[in-house]
Amino acid sequence: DDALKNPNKRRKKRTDIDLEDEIDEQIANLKVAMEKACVADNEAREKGLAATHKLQLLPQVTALLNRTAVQDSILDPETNFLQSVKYFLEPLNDGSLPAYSIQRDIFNALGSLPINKDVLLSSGIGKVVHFYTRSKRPVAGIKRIAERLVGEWSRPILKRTDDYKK
Amino acid sequence: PRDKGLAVDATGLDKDALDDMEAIFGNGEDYDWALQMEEEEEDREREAQ
Repeated sequence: DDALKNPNKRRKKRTDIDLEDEIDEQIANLKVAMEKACVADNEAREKGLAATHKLQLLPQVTALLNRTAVQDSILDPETNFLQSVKYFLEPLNDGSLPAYSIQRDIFNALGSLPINKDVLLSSGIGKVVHFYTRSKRPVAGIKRIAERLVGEWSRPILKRTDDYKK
Repeated sequence: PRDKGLAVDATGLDKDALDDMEAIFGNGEDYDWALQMEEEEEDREREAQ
């Protein structure tokens, strides 16, 4: 009976699942590539070479972070894409920060994502963002975004205490 | 000496909230090595002047 009323329903659902699987796979592949790029950049710096591997991946990373249709997958604590994003922002072994465009594009993208407590706990992204508020190396614009993010992300956690008391 | 913790007022916070804050933003030691390198670099630059 259902099939008669809506013959496309089943097919449509399958396509949705296929699409979700496809995105999950895409994210998983990008995560592997990102982690490799972080290692490669550290090795390059040790040899006195320019760190270019993260930069090469940056357009893909930013494109994914800014794709609102797949936000659920990106922010899924199990997918943990933000953990790889954290690795991108981390200081390199020589203490230097990643290229400015990496900082700028990722911080801007983070600013427009609805990041909740679960994804903060699983990804550790808050630790590196907190580091940017403490380091003197980032330019003022980046530090401002980092400070704003720490404020936004801590608000619901600090607020919970108030609610509890009421 | 640099301020280690977060710039939040911890007065009146329960332990769970503080634990969450530390789990999320770290205990101030996570990237200390990088901050230390930064300071050493600054010292070297100052001495070079």
